[in-house]
Amino acid sequence: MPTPLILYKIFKAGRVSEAPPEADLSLRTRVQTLHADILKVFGQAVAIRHIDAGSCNGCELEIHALNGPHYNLDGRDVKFVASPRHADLLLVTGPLSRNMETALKRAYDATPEPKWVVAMGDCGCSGGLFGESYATRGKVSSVIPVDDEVPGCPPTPIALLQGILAAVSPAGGNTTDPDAPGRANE
Amino acid sequence: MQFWRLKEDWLRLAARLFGHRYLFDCMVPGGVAVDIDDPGKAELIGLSHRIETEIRQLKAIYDEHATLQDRFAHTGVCQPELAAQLGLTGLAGRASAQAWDARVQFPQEPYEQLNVSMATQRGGDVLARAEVRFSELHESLRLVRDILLRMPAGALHAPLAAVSASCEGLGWVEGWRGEVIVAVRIGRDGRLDRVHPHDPSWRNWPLVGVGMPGNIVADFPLINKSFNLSYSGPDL
Repeated sequence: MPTPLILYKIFKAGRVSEAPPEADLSLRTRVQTLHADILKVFGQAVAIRHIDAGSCNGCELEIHALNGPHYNLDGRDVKFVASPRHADLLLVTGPLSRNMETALKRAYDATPEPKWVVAMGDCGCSGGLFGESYATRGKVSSVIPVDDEVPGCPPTPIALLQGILAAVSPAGGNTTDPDAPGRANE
Repeated sequence: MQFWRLKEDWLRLAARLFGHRYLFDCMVPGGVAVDIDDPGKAELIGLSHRIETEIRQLKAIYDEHATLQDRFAHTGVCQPELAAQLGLTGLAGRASAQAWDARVQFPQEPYEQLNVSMATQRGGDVLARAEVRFSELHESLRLVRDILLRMPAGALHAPLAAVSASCEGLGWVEGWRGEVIVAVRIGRDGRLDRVHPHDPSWRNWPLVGVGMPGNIVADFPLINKSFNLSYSGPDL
């Protein structure tokens, strides 16, 4: 009977979730005026579609790490979804390989308004090591509008979460509004 | 979630000791960029022991989980004969009786002193790959401890002589997905002329096409992830 072992392990490991970081508004590259109205209704709950546009998988490792128990994404009402049609926010990694350019534009068009785009990693922010070449378009903002750029190779999960939260924060900041529905679980 | 927790603990210790969670930029031409002191070694060894203990507990839970075993067994099978024809590498190959490990057959310092134990299975299914993965966790943690304990004192990196003529070189390591090979040619001016990084995913992706037919759709992610391949690897 498997139950006692697994329950013992869960009990013994305890809760490792940490308090979330504040949004880092310096990562913002533009502010959409819709923010205030949307956030009043939906809080900071956000559905993310991740798009790998030629990444080396370094950023993906940290996206995976962000899903781990230390970061308590569900507690922040942040979740990853399987289609851009279900998403509020596109999280784009990689130096934007030309093979992915059309797919990225289509995914952006398929994402319902209002929407945000976060470019992750040095490659997504500037083209990084690869820059612009016969194979790559460089930074994500050369093809679709970008709201936040989170640099790093790869950015740590904390930095990534700060960037995601900055995208879905009201124009002036204020990520700690206790009345926002997204904070209800804390 | 339990494995994620352990991995995060390890990454955070790496960030504290070496300055990067995945040790990027810690290796430089001619050697390494960061040293480790005795308290740092003790911390790494201590954490490796704790992780190994917890993995044993998690393996006991996994072994008792009949429904999980049922889902893993006979799912996504690649028979050893086909694996040999495809030239499979890494843990996917070793789970289909392809006994190749660059640390065993083509060891470079310090692996030739470590007597690396290779994990293999013959089943070629998701279950076999999970078993190989568990065995490799223990062996990797032992290797980390052995390497730390026998680490020689001395300079971190040797000075490199300037290149005066065109030359070529080949480097390889056994990565987490299999052998990673990088071929480099340096031109007369001392700049890189040609570089070819060879990712194990490039060799192993055809395996997904072989492993899928006959399985239910819900098992696709399970089989796909059991191979643990990189989408970007084949683009290199």
